[in-house]
Parts: sequence; structure tokens; C-alpha cells
Amino acid sequence: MHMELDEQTIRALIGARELPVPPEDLPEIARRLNALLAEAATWTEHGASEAEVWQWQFAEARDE
Amino acid sequence: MSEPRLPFSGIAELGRLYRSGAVSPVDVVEAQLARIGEHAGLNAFITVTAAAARARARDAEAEFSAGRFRSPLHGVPFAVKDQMLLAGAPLTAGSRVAAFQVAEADSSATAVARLEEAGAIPLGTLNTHELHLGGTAAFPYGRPRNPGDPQRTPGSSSSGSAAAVAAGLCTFSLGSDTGGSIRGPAAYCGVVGLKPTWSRISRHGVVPLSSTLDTVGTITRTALDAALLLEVLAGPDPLDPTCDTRPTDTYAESGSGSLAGVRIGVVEEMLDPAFSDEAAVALLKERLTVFEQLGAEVGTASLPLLATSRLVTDVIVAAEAASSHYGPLRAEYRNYDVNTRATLAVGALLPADVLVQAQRMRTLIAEQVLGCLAEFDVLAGPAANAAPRWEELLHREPVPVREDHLASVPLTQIYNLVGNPALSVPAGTTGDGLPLGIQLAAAPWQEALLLRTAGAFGKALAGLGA
Repeated sequence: MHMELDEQTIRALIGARELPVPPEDLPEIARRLNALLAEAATWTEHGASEAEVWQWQFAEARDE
Repeated sequence: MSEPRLPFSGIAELGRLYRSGAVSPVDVVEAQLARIGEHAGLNAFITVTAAAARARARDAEAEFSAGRFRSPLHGVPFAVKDQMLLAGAPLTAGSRVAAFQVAEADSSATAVARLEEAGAIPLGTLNTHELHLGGTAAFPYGRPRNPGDPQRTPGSSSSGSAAAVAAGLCTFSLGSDTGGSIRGPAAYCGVVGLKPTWSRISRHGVVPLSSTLDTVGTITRTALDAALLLEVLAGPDPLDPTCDTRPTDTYAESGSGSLAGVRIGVVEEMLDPAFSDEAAVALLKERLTVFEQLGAEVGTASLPLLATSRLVTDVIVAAEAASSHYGPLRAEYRNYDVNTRATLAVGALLPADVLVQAQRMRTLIAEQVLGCLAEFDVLAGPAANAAPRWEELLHREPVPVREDHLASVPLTQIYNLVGNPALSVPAGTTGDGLPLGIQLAAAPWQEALLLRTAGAFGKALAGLGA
């Protein structure tokens, strides 16, 4: 379940990170951030939550 | 050899000419410097180090006269993406941000230094999308143009690196590839672009973007030239703890040209109209017969998570780039390009659990790719989704990033997520004469097989006059 972040929330996050983002940049940042959050919410359907975190497995496999 | 052809000679060809005494490196450097001036409108170079290049060319000429040939690269001119240090030259990272400006580098990046030690001659630094991110809206050093048609894009982000080689402004170039930044431009400009296995080449002296994806690689005229370069560039570097320590391979082994026994899997999802247009797919299918005629077995591979790889990469790049650039972003926000700063800001705002989920998806994607590479030796698909486009780039600024260069990226990003080697090799042209490339990928550390396959294909295609 994904809840879209509104601009007020994003402004608060930007303030917490102390980023000097001008108002004209906010819509594009909001659009991109929400797009990524919406996509990430679908990743559990692929089994992401059961997978290990990526740790350069190919290198380890070769060394074994 | 006639003078006009010299700037377009490859490394192997120049080596033969130097050894025969038919040509001097002074001639080649002068011919390419002249072309750099004539083609300044391509905006391929940011800095040209002409005086230093001329001095090195004279030194090489003297060494050749004394019978001293240091390596196959000795006397061969090259240029460097302006995100890696070149001693004596400024660094800009394609950016106005003061934090990345170096007025004159004291030393070269390890990759550049290895080329210099082998006798190659740097001609300068090459234009790039800001911080090699891609999607730059306003270029501080001019918008790079495609030599095949200056109204079209040369691809991103190693734009100058591909344009310069294609236009005969240098014999080869260094680039970097975080999501396709070598392979895309190479395909758009009709040259060979190699992204080796992640960590195969040192990144010391290279401005970072995304630490687990950034890979230094090469742009050349042929696969053999890429192999010659990798033999010099690959290998451990005490200055880069992420650089792999395993022994390097012999990449430039001359084979019979046969691909007998090589299993090539065409990734069926890459042929989907969502990712590749009709011309790109038609040319790829036509060229598969070339691989078959060389003895390869061609089958169908499947990577169902191809589409997902795009936003997984976006999350990882944004988060890792924000980690690297958070300080300068806070201090100089408005000096960044509008698209760069939007990406970095998003990376600074992403929740940590989303990055963890992206890394988990990366594991699943890697399992798919490595599973295919257990069944096939080489995976094939279009290197770019279409011929280079133009209208968005030249008539609208700032460029909406999603409508520009990123249309192709799932084709290439997926191999950055896994870290395995991949390259783009020219496959011919559209009816309009615009270049198209084929992307080939192999298992981690299998650059020798990858380059042998691409080399055999390139020679066979040249034999067909394509």
C-alpha cells in the first residue's frame, strides 16, 4: 500500500535535510519521489521482501 | 596511407603503421588536433591539451626512431571523459559546481595514468552530462552533438567520448557507465563501447556518482582495440579499495573468428515495442544470422524483470549520488543543473526502507541474469531502443528527463545492477543512415569471451560491407 506524499510533506522533508530547494523545483521533485515510492510499493509482488540484500554475489560465487 | 584516413585508424592499425615507419605519431596527433578545431561545433571536447600532446608525440617519434616501442598503445592519441583527472588539465565534471572544479590536476586518475605509462598520448578532456548522471538540461560547455547528424543526440552521459572517436578527433576514449553511459553513446555514434565487470578497472581519480554501479570503460573503433586497452587498464589498484584483485586475462587473443560452440541468447523482453522500435528489432534479427554463420548457437533468453530494473536503478543511483554529493548540494544547490539537482534531492529524501527494497530487487534481477548466463554464454539485444533522436534535445530546454535519453536505459541498466560485462557493437544503420548497435553481455569476468564474440561479429559485418 503506497500513500502519495503531498507537497507540504515533501517541503517538511526538504527542510529536515536542510536543502535550499526553491519553490519552482518542488513539483518535479514531488513527481519523481512519488513515482519511485509507487514503484517500490509493487516490489513485494516480485518477492523482494523475501530476498537477500544485494552483496556482490557473483564475486563470492566465483571465489568459492 | 592517405592523410584523411589517419584520424580514423584504430589502435592495432596505428601500431602496425608505427612499426613499419610509414607514419609518425606526430602526423596522427596533428591530424586529430586539426579535426578537433574543424569540428568544434560537436562540443565533444571541454579542454584540448595540444601543446603537451605535441611534445609527447615528438618524444614517441624519437623513441620509435630508436626502435623502442613501449606497448601497442605507444603513440596512440586518446581523450578522457571530463570526470576523471588528467594531469595538467582542468577538471569540471561537466558541471558549474565549484566543489568539482580543479584548475589543473596534479596527477592523473589511475586508469589515465596506466594509458600514459603505456605511451598513449592524451589530447584533452571530453564533454559529459553533469556528474555523468545523464539528462543534463543546460550544458555549461555546450550541448554535445552526434557526428553522424549534429541535429541529433550522441547519447549520454559519455557523449563527448563517443562523438570524439566517431568523428576521428581521437583514436579511443575513456568513459564511464553507471546505467549505459558508455554503451548508449557508442550505439548512437556507431563505435564500440565496453563496460567491463564492475571493479575490473580502478576508479581512483574519478568523480563518483553511484558507487556500486559506476564502471570505467572504453570507446573504440573495434572490439580488438577494446581488448588491447583492457589489458592495460584492468587489474588491482592500491589507491582504490573497491578495485578487484584477481589476475587479469589475455583479452586480445587472436582467434580464428569462429564462434562455434558459443551459445547466444536473445533477450526476448528487449524486443518488446515498449523498449525497442521496429528498426532496432529488425536489424538485430537480421544480424543474428551473422552470429549463426560464424558457428554460434542462437536461442531465446528471458529476463522478466527487465522493466523493473529501471526504477530499481533510479532508486540506487539517486540514493548513492545523494550520499556522495549531499554536502555540495546543500552548499551550491543552484549551481547544479535542474535535472541533476532534482535527482540528488530525491535521493536525499528517499526512505531507507525503499533503498533496502531496491537492493533486494537487485538480488532477484541478478538471479535472473546469472541464470540466463548459465544457459547461454552471451546475451544479445538492441543497445539502444532506436536510432538517435533529436527534437527534444534541440527545441526544448530544460529537457523532461523521462522523455529524453532514459527511454533506452532498461536495456543497459540491468547489467549495471548485476555488475557483469556488456558492450555495444555497431550493427549497421537505419534507412536514413543513422547508426544502431547490438548489446552483448557475458558472465562476470568473461570479458575475453565477450570481446572475442564482438570482434568476430564486427569483422564478419565489415566483410559484408555493412
